[in-house]
Amino acid sequence: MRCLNWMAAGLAGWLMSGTAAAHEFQGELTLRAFGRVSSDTPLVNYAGTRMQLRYEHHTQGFSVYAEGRFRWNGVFMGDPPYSQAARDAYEFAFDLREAYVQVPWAGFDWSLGWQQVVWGKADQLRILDQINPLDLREFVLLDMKDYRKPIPMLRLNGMVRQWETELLYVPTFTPIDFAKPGSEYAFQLIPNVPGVRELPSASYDNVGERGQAGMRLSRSFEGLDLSLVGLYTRDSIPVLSQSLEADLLGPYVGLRKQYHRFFMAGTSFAAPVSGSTVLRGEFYYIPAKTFMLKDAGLSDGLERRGEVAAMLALDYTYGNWLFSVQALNRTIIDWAPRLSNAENTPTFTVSAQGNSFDGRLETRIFLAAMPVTGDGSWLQVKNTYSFDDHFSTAFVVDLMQGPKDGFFGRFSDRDRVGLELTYRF
Amino acid sequence: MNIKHIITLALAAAFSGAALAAADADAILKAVRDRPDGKDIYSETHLILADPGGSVRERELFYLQKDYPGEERLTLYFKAPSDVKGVGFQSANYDEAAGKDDEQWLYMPAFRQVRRIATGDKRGSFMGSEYAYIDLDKLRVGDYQQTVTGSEAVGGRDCWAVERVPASADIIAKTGYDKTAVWVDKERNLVVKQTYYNSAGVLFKTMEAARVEQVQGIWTVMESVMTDHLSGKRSTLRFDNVRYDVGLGDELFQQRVLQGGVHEGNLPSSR
Repeated sequence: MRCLNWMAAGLAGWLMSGTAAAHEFQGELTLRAFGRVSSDTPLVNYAGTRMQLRYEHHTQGFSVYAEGRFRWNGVFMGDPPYSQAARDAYEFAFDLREAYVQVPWAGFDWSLGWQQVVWGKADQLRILDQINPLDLREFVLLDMKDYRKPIPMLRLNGMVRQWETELLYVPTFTPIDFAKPGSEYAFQLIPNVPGVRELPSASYDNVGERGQAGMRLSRSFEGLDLSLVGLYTRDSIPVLSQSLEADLLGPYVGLRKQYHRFFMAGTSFAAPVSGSTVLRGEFYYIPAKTFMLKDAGLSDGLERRGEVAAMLALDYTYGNWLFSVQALNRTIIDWAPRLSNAENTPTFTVSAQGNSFDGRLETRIFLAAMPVTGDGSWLQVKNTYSFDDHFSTAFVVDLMQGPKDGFFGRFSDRDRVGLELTYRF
Repeated sequence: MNIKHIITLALAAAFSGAALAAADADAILKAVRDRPDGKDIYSETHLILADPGGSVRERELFYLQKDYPGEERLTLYFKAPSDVKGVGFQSANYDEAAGKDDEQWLYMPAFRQVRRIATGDKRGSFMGSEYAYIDLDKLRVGDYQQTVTGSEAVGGRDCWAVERVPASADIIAKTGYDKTAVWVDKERNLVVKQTYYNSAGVLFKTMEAARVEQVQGIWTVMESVMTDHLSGKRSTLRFDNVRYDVGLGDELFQQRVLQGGVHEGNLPSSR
């Protein structure tokens, strides 16, 4: 307790040191209410608040960045059809969005702490953007920054011979967070069938097992932005290994979540192709990635294959509006019918964003579709109106459609319409 | 001297007068474009948006500009209010003689990505103001055909009045202006007033330099006001703490600065 008192006193002293302007605080308080629209059981699935606080401190010697978020969902005060696990996790939730110190040294900016790093030029598609895992408690949202999880890392940024060079090392492993069982967007990864049980997930206790490292080189030539990326990481999305187990109750199939390593080499570019149009592209090659088999037989149900992904996009500017189309395809190299993933997984997106009424009304429309693999489609529309510099309101519509076992279609009865009222300070 | 000689001489006089007016206009605007403005510029800038109803919104930003061989780089970084904090804009404006299109990038904190923007359409409003992106560009002489229409006093200063017509449909599409007129301070080579006409020939926007001061020997527009005559809205750009040749580092004009932000740590302490 005495130690905490000293730490608090020290922190207070540091905050009060220097001018008020040297310590920058900002925040926003949002009231949110969302409900299902197309379900047989209409339901308000979120009625609560979100508060975000951001702190920055800059000197000639170092900078500090910190941002935290607190969420309260008042629907759990009633009797919603959610599990105790969902209540425990989502009624009150605090999470760090980022917290790191940055120091310039030896020609590089050294950043140490919890950070979000976005590589690539794709909108809402995770191609080169593989460093931070996601929190899917609210499934997919229009702003990926709202559900990208910060992770602790050491990151260096600097110039090396006209190339912006970024190096990072992540000492820990953080998997994707699927929504808790019994919550609004619960994702059933392990089938609930007799004779099948979930085993404890694989753990990675050694630093060598956990860490990931990457490098990005970026440069703008005349008329071309180019980035080259190399990343050695562990897949934040699990595969399920199978094993025959037995206990006093008899034999069963044990399924264990595993997160396998892969190396990715990739590139992204952007170049103007006409006065109002920019061409964007992104590409990766993974020599060996782990995929699941449809029928494990006597094996662990996993095989390694290479994978490539390629995306092309066009951005068209018209006045205050930006219109974009993206076409992405992921291909498994040396695919075989025994793999549970399709050989090709194409994804198409169309989006528009712009502002009107002197910038007071911002409109964003995003449509994603995966028609070939039967994963359905997702349409989101968000209109945000700013009354002044402090108050704004947003109207959001999220429509998901597709086969019930598809990525989007599984939540087709969880479409949501919502209102947000935000005060910024 | 017969009638043919008189007509020939009259035509020669008319064309040489027109050529002289055109040449003078080009020379005047080249002098504006090429006037010395230091190797770099630092300013704490305020963008103030006012509508006829009395509502006022104010944005604070860092304005950073630096000369490089054959180009000029600009970084704008918004620091307040909180709904625009962290928005960053960068451009590379190449010398006209190079004949290259300029380049622009935008950073939105929500996406955490630096995005290249097409530069063929710069009609869009800059942060909701009456300034379009094209209005922030360096003056380009060759994009227009200009003519001196006379001399006028503006704000007590003797100015050239120059009418400018876009040289091609591409320029009209890029700027949204079918015609503009500029008033150039004869002594200081500074644009102190500019009017803008739409495709219907209507004067719909006027920019006026509200305050001009000499900073480190360089005449500088410290405050300009853009008025939209159709809506009655007005936007003011106020440049505070303008400093030339402060030694802005190259890192302030690299894309990574948009993600980390412009702040005390990467600005020269001597500004």
